Amino acid sequence: MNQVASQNTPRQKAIALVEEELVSSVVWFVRIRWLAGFGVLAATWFATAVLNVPLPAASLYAIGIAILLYNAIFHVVLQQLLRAKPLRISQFDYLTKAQIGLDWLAMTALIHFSGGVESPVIFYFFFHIIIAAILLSPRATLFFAAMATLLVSGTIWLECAGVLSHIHPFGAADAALHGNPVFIFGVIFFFTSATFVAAYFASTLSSRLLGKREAEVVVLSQQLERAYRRLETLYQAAQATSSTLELQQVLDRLVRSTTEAMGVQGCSIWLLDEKGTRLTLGAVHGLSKVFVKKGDLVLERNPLAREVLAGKVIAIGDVVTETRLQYHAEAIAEGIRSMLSARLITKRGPCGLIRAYSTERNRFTEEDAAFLSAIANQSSIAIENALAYQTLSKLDQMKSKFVLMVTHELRSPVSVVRSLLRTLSAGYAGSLTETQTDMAARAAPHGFLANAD
Amino acid sequence: MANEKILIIDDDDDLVYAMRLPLEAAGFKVLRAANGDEGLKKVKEVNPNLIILDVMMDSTTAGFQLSLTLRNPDPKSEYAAFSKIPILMLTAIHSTTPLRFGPDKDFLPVDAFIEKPIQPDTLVAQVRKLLKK
Repeated sequence: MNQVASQNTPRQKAIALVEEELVSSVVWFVRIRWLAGFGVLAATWFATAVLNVPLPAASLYAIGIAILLYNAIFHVVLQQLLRAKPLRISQFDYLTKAQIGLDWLAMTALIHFSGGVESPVIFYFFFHIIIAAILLSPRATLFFAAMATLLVSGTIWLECAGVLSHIHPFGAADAALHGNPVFIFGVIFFFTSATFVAAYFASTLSSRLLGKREAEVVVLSQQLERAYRRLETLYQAAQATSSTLELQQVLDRLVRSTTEAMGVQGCSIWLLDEKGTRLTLGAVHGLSKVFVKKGDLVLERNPLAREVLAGKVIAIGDVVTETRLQYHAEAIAEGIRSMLSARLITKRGPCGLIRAYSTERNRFTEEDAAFLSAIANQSSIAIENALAYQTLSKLDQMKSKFVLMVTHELRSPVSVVRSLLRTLSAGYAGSLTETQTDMAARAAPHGFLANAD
Repeated sequence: MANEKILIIDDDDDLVYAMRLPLEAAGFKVLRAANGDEGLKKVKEVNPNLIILDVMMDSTTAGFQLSLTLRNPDPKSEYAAFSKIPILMLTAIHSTTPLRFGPDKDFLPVDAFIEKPIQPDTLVAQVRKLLKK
């Protein structure tokens, strides 16, 4: 029993979409039949009461009512099926086949009672064929097309052989036509061929359209998933910006999530040194130690790095044929075939670059370039924050050291003064007069001399 | 007890003055060196009975280094003969920081500490105590 596919892969999403369409087509089919039923009744009345065509009105009305009746049953069954969660597609398929089967019988009866081989109603079989071809698989369509031809040819033969009575809608003038073998053969031949041709065309076209639709959905789903993952990475990068001020942690997170979001081999961030002459590795993910240790990007010898720092997002489609790389051989040895680089820039100017590496050639598109730019912007902000924090920490440390130094510097002379005062007050410089004792006491902090330290 | 020699090694003239008065009044002979190098020379010259040493002089660790030099356990050190002289260390660390110093055989081989600013009576008492040992 095939359930509506779980919405996991793009292919499964596509299938689910197509099945949903089928279900809505079945609903439409049942609705249309109400029209058909009333149409039969109306046409019968018009033909017999107004045009006075010699048709067995009672039988025709009966067929019309029968159509309405079995459509009512289908309607109820359909509502039941629609209520099931999840929808069971195979049951909708059975329902469709049942409808078509009954329609076929109704059509055959209508044809018989409106003149058999002479009945113009034969033509109406064609749109039934077309509907069946759209709703059913090619095999089922073939089966029903064969059924249609069998039913119609069968009826004509039986009427010709006299087993079934023949109705003459156009009066006794064509009395013998229904027994005329050439006429019968002609009608049967053209009906059969037209049926199969119509079935084939409708079947082919509809499966082509559906197939195309399915393929489109798969592609769109994949694109959507990619876009979603990139959005997630951007969000995570923004989170990284605000969640940690540890520069190394920020850089490590950025290279890892960029690698994953873009689905590439690896990613690296390089930071410009203070003199602005070389880029040293800030963080890397997905590349071997050998490649990582290859060395700094020296701007003088690296035209690519210079161009990126100037502001261009540069994609290298094929590393093998590229001339602007400083570490050409090392890149090839690592298995890298294409690269994408964007610059990192803070308020003080360019501060480095971020680079994605792939083992496929020509991997990076405009879309990738736009994405890496966005990541680069987020990274720049994160780096700026982390650096500001570092500076702040250093300044804080310096301040503490300074305060400590000053405190010590101040205390030394003060303690000397106090030592002298104590010696003086203790009388070692000669005994003191009252005034002198008083003065010494005032010079010392209140209560100090009384302390027995 | 009379004429026992006390060598004060300290770069602060005024502090030395503040200490000299009570010590001389107690009957000790007070000699002075202004820095670590001078101090070591004077130790050899004078062979004092007690050394009063400031923790920080021209550099933050001058006092420590001097005490380590004097108390070098190597018997061939030039100060071996002087390694038994009691050392009294002056410090302001206890009053200005939450740090606490204690004499340590390996890192701070002194006999006692005394805090700055000095209380003259305490100083004399401490000196007497160390000399008695």
